[in-house]
Amino acid sequence: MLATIAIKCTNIEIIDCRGMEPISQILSPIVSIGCPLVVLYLRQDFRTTIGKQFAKDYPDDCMDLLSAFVAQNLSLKSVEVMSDEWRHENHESVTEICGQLSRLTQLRDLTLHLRVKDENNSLSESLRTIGLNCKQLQRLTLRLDSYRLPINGQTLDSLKSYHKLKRLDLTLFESNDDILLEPLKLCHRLTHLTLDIWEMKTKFFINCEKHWPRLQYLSIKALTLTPEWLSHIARLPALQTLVIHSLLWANKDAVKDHVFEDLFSINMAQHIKHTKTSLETTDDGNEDKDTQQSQIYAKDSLDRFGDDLCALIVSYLSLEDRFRCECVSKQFQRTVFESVVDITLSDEFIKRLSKEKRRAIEMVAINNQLLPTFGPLITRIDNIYLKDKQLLTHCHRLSQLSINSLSEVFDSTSRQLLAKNLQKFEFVYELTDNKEQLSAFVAHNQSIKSVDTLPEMCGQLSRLTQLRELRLSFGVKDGENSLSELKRLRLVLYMPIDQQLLEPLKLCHRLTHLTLSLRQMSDKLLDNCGKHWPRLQYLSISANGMTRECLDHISRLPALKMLCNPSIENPLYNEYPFIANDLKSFDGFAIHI
Amino acid sequence: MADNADHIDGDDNEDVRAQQNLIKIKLKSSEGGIYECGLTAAKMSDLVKNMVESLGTDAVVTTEPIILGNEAVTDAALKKIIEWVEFHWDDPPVDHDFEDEKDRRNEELSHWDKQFIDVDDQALLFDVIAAANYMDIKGLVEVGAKHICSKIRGKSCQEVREMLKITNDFTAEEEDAIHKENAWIYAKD
Repeated sequence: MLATIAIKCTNIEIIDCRGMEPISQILSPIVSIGCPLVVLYLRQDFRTTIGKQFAKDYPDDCMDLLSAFVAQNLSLKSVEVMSDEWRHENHESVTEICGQLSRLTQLRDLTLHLRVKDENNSLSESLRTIGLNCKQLQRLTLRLDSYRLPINGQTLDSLKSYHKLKRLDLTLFESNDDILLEPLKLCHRLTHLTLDIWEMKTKFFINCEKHWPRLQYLSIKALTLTPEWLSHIARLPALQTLVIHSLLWANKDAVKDHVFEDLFSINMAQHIKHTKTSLETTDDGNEDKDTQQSQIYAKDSLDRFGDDLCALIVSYLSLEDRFRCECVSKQFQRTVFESVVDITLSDEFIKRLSKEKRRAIEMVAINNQLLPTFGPLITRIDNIYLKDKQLLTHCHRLSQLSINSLSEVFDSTSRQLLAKNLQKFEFVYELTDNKEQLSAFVAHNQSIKSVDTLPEMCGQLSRLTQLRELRLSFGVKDGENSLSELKRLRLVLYMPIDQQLLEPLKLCHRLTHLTLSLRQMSDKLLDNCGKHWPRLQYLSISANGMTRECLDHISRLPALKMLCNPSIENPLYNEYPFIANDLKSFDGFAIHI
Repeated sequence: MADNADHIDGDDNEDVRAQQNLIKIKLKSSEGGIYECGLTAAKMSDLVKNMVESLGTDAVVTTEPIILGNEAVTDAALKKIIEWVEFHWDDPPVDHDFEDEKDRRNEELSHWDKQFIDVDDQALLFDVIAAANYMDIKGLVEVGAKHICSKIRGKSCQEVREMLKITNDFTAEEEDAIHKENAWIYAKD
């Protein structure tokens, strides 16, 4: 089922495995089933790898690469292949690429962007191979640039062998003869059709209602459109959305007056939901533009919203609710998983998944060979026991790491540092830890913005000039001017303090959030705090010895929005005029009432 | 230290914002109604902000109202929107140094926002959201989205459809297939 999730949530970037271990066991089903996490990885990496190979102009290597890749990912469901912009294929390489792709029998979604600069540019054979082997194929995007050579009329012939094809997106850069598009008429199952074709013939749409009885979505981009087209298109029985981009109308006046009336009157009866039509009419190069928009919907129906806004709204649903709502409508189905970029896997979640379909998750034994595959996807690791520290070197994108001991990020034998360029780091500092290790770690992680640790290393930490958040659980070394960039500070001190210790805090002028947990409040700390911390929005103090003066000072903080003080024992707050301060939230008071 | 204090008083100085909000500009709905709104508050709309910046503040204050042509910006919706920005104009700016995006998304709406957005007239609610989206007021779109999502939570597909008046364009077979795929959601603990 994890695989299902991964298939639906195609935009996923982060998997959060907090508290799950070992992660390899959790993630291996996803990897082994070969679903989109891998696809996502491949979509980026595969393309760049191939691009690089092309750049070196070693087509043989590239094919080897493709072959090896296909062999290891036979269950891929979605593939996108693009030629580099300056690179063009010859007939042989196209045949070979398609031959390799045809081994992916589970393929459902294929995107092919090809540039063919070859007289013999028929893709007919290649497409037939794919059609015969990839029987599950439902969505095909084909972009064909033939460098001004006419495209062979047979090219699309084999589309009739794509029995499950539902969505077709076709972009042709060259004019073509009448027979090229004829095979499309045999794709009776099409629900979505996008045509971006320079020149199209009116007669292509004659009887289109018979060819495409299920067509819901039609998008046409063409140089010239005639009103006759619309009268044909209007007969499509299932059409819900029509998008037209055109530069020229053959007969502009006719379009304005009655054509759309026809379109609507015919389609209204067939419950057309919304017609989004944007017409840009240019009359023989004159800048005479005419934009028309028409939408039909009920004001109190969510159907009135376009996909963008709908996606934005449903992006606040939990993952479970997203699955529950998938079948509300097709718009929901399209949009509900779009915004999922971050999944949190917990034991409970996995248990729930595995309870329903235990068999679906074939737990693969921990296989270190898989880790290099999904390592590059990981951006966050949280308190996981790393059996093999070297695995960290595969996690190029890792930015947040939480471990127990600093020595875990060093190779035991070579003493090499394994985690570099982190942004957030949490660990427990031990007195036995090697100072050199800490120094090396700091040197290689200058971009760290957040640290949670113990105090002995403050001297080292002061080298992290990007630091924006610091959580110390013991003490702070004074005189750290380089900490003046700090925005958030949480300070827990269990020892008696003197006046001097907290003085450096006054230099942190950029503080927006401050949490202090002290035994005894320092008298002078809050003097003039309005000047020291002009941006402080959040203040939480738990300490003995909070006096009326302290509150007096606090009330002068100009930007304060939240004050939390669970330890306050006296009724001072009752009478205190915080109103002037525009506090939006005041916490802690309630606890003691 | 004085230097430091000067340095951090930048564009987001609260006093300046407060003063600017005393300046009133006029906004015109697609139905023709004209309403006054504080400048800082109105600039919560990126659309208005860009207009004000390109026209210059003086021009906006003294001349014609800013026309909001989108049909979702009805009189009623614009009144609601002005009410919202006038309440929220002094919210602290977003701090991109932290991953607050996720926290903010998960944060529950404030009591005021809940009462504000809980309108009985669903057409008005959708107008407000669509208008806020058109005017590019991200905070308000978020309030609307969270409100709708809180109503969706835990409901069945059919209940969601009825509530939001969504047309079911799936065939029975298609719906069954999706149900089967997502069976784990309905599994009892």
